[in-house]
Amino acid sequence: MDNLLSGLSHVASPGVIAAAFGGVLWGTMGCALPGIAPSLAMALLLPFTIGMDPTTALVLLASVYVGAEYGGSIPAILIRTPGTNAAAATVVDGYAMARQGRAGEALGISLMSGFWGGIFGLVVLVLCTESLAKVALAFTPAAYFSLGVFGLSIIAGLSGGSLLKGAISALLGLMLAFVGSDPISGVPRFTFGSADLLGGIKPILIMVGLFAVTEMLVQITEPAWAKANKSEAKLKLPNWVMSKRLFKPQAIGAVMGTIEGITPGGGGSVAAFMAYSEAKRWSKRPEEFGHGSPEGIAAPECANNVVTATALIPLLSLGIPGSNSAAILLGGFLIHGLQPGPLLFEKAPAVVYGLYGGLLVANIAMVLIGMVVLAPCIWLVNRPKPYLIACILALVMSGVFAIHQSLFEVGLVIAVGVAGYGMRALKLPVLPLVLGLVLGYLVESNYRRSLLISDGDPMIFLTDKVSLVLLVLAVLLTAYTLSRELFGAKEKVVGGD
Amino acid sequence: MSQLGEAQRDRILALLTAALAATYVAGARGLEDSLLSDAVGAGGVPQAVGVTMLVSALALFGKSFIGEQRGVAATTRTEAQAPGDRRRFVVRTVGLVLILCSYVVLLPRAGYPVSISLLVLSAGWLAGAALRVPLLLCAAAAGPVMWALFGLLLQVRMPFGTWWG
Repeated sequence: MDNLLSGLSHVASPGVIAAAFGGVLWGTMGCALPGIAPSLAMALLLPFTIGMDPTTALVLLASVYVGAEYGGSIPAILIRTPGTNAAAATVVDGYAMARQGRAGEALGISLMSGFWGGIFGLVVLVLCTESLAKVALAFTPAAYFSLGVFGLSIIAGLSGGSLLKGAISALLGLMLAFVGSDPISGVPRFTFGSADLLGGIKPILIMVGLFAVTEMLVQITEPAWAKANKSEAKLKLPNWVMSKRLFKPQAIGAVMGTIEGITPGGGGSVAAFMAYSEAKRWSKRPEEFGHGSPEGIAAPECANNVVTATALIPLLSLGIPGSNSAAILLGGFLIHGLQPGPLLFEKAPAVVYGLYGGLLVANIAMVLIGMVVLAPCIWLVNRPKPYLIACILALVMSGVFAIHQSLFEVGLVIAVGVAGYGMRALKLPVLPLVLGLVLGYLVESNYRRSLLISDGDPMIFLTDKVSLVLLVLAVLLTAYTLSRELFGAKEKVVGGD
Repeated sequence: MSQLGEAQRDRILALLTAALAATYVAGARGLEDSLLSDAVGAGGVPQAVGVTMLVSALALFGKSFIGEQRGVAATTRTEAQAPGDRRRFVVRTVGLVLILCSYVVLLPRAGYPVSISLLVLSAGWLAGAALRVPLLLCAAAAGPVMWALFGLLLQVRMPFGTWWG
């Protein structure tokens, strides 16, 4: 409780307030541009957080994610192009309302639903994370190894829809994690004689390459997006009658966002679509859905903002990032020498509780900024796309060089960006790769430590109860994914016929 | 690449992965252990990962044929691109990679402000902006503005370039 109160005292810190407002502004404006995902907006800022205090840096990154979810709904409503994947469900009724001349009302519903979703998600985050972390504190090296395997099995199965491709991607990440000095003996591995690789490959470089450079390589071949109408830049917040009507779809969104947020691999877009579908099912006016229903905006927007907080539960308590944005936030922790997981609450409680406080400020900032940022967002959306691509690339290249003033690292980021482009072309999901990279050390070092403790007896992974439970869960999840894949293949054949 | 069916795409991925896994296992087997090493050794886990990847690649290769027989590939084949579109697609993608590589080569020689300006100019032009005053102004401003941002605001020393003495 003391820690929570001290964390909330960060709310009054000028640095945290500035980071929360700055992050929300960056996320809202950045993700108002179609194609700029929250993870990209966060990745662009990642190198700039190096010199910052850890709490301020993490609040900045988390606030980008909060702002991004509202930003993504702006083009979804105005030009029928979702700024983020999670805003795709908002397009249906948001654009229909805009065509009826109710764009301001739709944007107001999106903003307030996002706010309530963010606050609800924060409460769930505070209540769940520490208790989960306390359980994980009793982990032995064998349990940590099994936790790593469990995390890899979840993401490999859930991202991309193909277990084999997810597994290949995760294994690629593990391969990259083994570059550098061996954690036990210090022998250099896969460094090709390069001193730059002795310390291993920094996850931040892989993340910036995969999320920023790859995205620009994709965007440069995509056509320009539509122009937004300046006259629509008037926000209208929902009145009391409308707020009462929106309560039920927002509650549905809150439940869906919580479930999908804590499930690694779920994410905001799945939560938004599930919330939309359930809100329609439980609505008194289901016939309005698809024709400009306010409930059709409230449910998905609330759900995807709940996810901005609940997606942090597996990251903070177990060290497993369940989404691209959580992976970037993990990068922010690693840059500052902090390893998310159960020990984080012992080693750096001020950072965790400061992050909670920062998220509270970020949600308030989202409403305040949301009320004034619409006109600048429309201006930005109407800028020529080539200029935006060129400026983003300049920012990425400069930011990467600024980390260690290393040309090798800039070259590595470009190479990773090209590899990420190849991965997209071959439909290989990138999230398992990032997870393999960040969990590689945890898996290998704890595997070898366990065998040292047991004099080489592998039964230690089965005699340790927590380890056994996690391994059984990993096997069950893999079996479930495999059966779903086989069942899905049959469905495709039926569809094909 | 977008014209490939899912089965063909999976086969290419499987072959590339298998080649990478085989090379990786060979590299891991060649790792020498120090006296401080444990029973698993520096190459033990990487070898296991490499072999698992090889098995996954072979499974994907096999699965691609099963999927094709069931007609999955036919249902997922994407629309063909016009030759002009394909050319633009390749030119822009490869062009951008070359621009980024040129930036890495130029940065220590021409310095940060010049390299960034050239990056903005060339990437903007490649992305479709006309080579006219607005783009030239944007590129000319990008170098000094970013130099000021990093040098003055963030206190990061960016290279000035060996060409300028």
